[in-house]
Amino acid sequence: MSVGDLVTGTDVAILVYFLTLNSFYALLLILSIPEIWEQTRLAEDDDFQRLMQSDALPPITILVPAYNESATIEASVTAILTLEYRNYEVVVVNDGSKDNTMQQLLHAFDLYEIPRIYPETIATKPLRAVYRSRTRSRLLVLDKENGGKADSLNAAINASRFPLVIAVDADTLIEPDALLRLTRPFLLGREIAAVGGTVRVANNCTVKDGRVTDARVPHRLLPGIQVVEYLRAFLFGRLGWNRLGGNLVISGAFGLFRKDYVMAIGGYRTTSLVEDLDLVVRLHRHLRRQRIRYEMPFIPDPVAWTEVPESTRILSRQRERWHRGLIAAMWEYKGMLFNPRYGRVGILAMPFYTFGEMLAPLVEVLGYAVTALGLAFHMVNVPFALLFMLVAWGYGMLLSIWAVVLEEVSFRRYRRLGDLLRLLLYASLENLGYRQLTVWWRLKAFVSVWKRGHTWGEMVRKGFATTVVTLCVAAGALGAQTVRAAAWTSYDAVDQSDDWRGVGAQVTWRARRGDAVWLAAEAVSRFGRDDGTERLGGVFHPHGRWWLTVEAGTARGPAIVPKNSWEADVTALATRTAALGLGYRRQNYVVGPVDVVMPHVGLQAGRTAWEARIYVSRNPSDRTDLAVFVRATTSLSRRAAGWVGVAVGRESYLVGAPPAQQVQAIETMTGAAGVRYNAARGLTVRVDATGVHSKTILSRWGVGVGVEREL
Amino acid sequence: MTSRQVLLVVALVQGVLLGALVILIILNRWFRLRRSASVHPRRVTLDNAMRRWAAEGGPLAGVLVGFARLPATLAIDALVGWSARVPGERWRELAAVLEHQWWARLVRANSDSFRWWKRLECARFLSVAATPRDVARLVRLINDRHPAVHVAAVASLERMESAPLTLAALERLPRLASTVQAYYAGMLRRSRPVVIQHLQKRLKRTDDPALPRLAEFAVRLAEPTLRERITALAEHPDPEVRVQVSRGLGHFPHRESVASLTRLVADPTWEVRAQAARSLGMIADPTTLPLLRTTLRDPIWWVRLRAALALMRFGMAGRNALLEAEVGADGEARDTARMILGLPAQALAEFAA
Repeated sequence: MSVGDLVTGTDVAILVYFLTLNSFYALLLILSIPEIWEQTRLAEDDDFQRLMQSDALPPITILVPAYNESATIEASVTAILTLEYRNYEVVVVNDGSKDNTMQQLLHAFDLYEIPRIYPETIATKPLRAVYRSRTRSRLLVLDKENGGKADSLNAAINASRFPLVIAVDADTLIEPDALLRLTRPFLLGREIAAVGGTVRVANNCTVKDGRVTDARVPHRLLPGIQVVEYLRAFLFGRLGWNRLGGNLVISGAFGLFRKDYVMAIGGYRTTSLVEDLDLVVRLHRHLRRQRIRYEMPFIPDPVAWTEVPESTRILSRQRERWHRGLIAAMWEYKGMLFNPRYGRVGILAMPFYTFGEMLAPLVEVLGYAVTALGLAFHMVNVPFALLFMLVAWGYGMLLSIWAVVLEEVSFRRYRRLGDLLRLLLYASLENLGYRQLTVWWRLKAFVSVWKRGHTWGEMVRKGFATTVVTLCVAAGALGAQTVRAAAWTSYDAVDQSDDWRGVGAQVTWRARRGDAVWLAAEAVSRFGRDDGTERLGGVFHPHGRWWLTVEAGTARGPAIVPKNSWEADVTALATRTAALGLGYRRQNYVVGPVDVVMPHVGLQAGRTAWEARIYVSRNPSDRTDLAVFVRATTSLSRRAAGWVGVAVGRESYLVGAPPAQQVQAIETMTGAAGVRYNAARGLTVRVDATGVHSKTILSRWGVGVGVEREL
Repeated sequence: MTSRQVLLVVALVQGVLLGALVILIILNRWFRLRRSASVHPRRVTLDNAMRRWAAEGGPLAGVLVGFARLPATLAIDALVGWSARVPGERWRELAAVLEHQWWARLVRANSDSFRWWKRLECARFLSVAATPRDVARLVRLINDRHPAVHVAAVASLERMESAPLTLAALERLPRLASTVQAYYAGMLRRSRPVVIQHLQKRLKRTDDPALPRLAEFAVRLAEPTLRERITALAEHPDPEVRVQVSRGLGHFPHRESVASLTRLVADPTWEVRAQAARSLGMIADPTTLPLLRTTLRDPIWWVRLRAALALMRFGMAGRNALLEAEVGADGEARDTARMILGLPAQALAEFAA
């Protein structure tokens, strides 16, 4: 392939990407029109006074995490305590601040300590004390050890009394009627899981008593452009997504959530960089899996104001962090991508955020690079390239100005003509420099993720070489004659839990008399966590009528599999067609060991081989369980064999991921079947299907595909 | 057409669109300013006329002219705004006269419109200015598929007493989300006799899938005549119904309520036990104190909390029971008692609510 072909191919790919992405933006733009029409109508027509006097208003808990906020905490909390809403409480969490935030709170609100009056449903860093206020009955203050924003929010959720929770940053200014407006979808009777409101830029606005009294567009370029960015993100991006049913982002600074759903998914994830995106994606995943009807709308009229960075240094850090969070979330929940099980979220939203948002900076830079390369090698027509750039930038400008139009025809927060002109100016300038800067910052996020990803990768590689050397020595000692390599992958759709996935490979060295050693490695994913295992095993025939099989394995995590396991089995031929055996397996999980004793019998009857196994297991809670498995394997043709199997009983399963995991005895009924086909040249293909009905959790169905080849 | 020509066309279209958007912004501002300039004085005139008429110092004709001169949406806004400030008799007089106004006829005609915002306009208008002849129209609007429309229409129950209207709202109530149910319940309270009569019948149907919601509504009403019906549901197989019953019986200090609650406090569903403990606290019958003392050892935290809070309502005897539990053998009862005894009165009142 020549450089010319490469440039042309890349150019075409980028053009297709450009057209697809921009067509999607155009779709969002079109969909935002009826949406803003409806929302504006509802916002104007609601008789809020009447609703405020009714019993219908759902009580809300406002969660306010605070870390080193001593300068603003009193004003922020006071402003929140004066919101126009009938039934709400405020839970402020001092997240182990190093300044005197806690003292400020104690003094300003006349706090007194009370015992903890709620169970700790979500695990958090230890609480130091719980306080109530003598002057403000709505206020509850938690003082806890530092654990980050997500941990503070979880602590506040534990303490909250009401069914709806809203997380608010201590430095965010909420409009007095915003809570009331935010509850509109609940009052309109929909099945709401969460609602997002608009976040606007507070820089250059007049703020009095914690309220924005005069909205202005900043004179400085950087915050000014961010006003347009926020308008575009909220007014047309999210409104458009409302119609597509897949709003993936509800701002962490201003979003109302149903507490029972948040608790069902274990609250905010403390390890996530962008806890709001992570929470919303997990909520979608949970609700789709549980087949719960829900909506997560964005409504534009409730407004919260926030300060945006005015320096490129801080802005770059913010954008890099956001993008790192996006990459982490998209990677973490890649199982939802193009997965019809998750409806529009899986089919539309996840691909859009992955390819249209996450990968956009890479494609854009690639586009610039290829164009530069093409220009350098005179393979790109200069006027054409300039025209293309003009169209691309013009389109970006069109989208930004459309956001300004939506603002103008709906809520019109910026009333002055000067502000409007500045908005138009910033919308025009955004694509000339600022956009390229954000691309650069987002690219840095990839570099940062890659560096960290390297560390994750090391875990899989560690110790692998030693094992291979050991195996080669063992194989040599056995006088290995053949080497077979196998690879497999499996997928299980699990009820009420993350799907199980596995991909693995095995190499087997086999000697002529049947002795063999093998090495297997497998990457597994369960309960939303990934882990890896390595297994080393062998089969030895000390005598012609009986043989010994041993296998030992270790885990990489060990998050969702035993940290180590070992197994031994002795089988002897009882007659020419029957064999009896006894196996023992020990699996050392983090939460305790599981021992399994497995007597088994095999019988060859004509073309069919029967096998029956009994599993007697004892789990960490000293419970003994029993399960029986029967399998029949028959040859279907000269090359193909099929098998069916059934199992009934109680089995010990590791349920959940750390820190909340346990070994549970689960009643199961399993049906399984598979086909194995020996193709030409030593290649074998197998396909297996399994269905497990279990009480009360982990019912699943799955398929596995494997290939094996003699090398 | 070459790709370059395509790009040129796209660039041209973009240029035109950009220009159009800027013109749209300017026109929108200009139009709004003009509209505001022309409508605002008319609204002021109407408000003055209304003020005079409400104080019985001005003619109704002035008010009617004022309404007619405003665009329908703004007239409805004004009407809704004034509805809370004019006494009932005079308001009914205005509603009756409005029935014959041309603009009000147009608004009424919108009850069948296929555009939801037109139906919403009609619902908002009728919520404050309906006459007995509008009942059929309102029933239709209460059954409207758009939530904003039926929520607005049900507000008409605040001003109108009509059995068909009340029954339509009652029929819809169990199918609504809990927040909207609460709103409906608030509106339906005003039509108490019809509602109670209907509930007496519906609560008898124990296989009714809407029973949990109806029971919840009946409990909200706290109507003594419904006590027997609510008590009869204490043995219902649906735990959600039993939760509602447990919660509701606390409002009826009656020996049958106490007997039912005594059984419910040992229910296998913990939510039922928690509510039953709370209700026993509300009734504070001394014979139930030993039962609550036992409930303090319940395996569920929330049930223990409710039992402890309930004991605090028994006065000194309850407090002594908690003090005993605080030094007793049961660790969980001890913790709960210690926590409740450590709460200040204000916090206790809030948690007991």
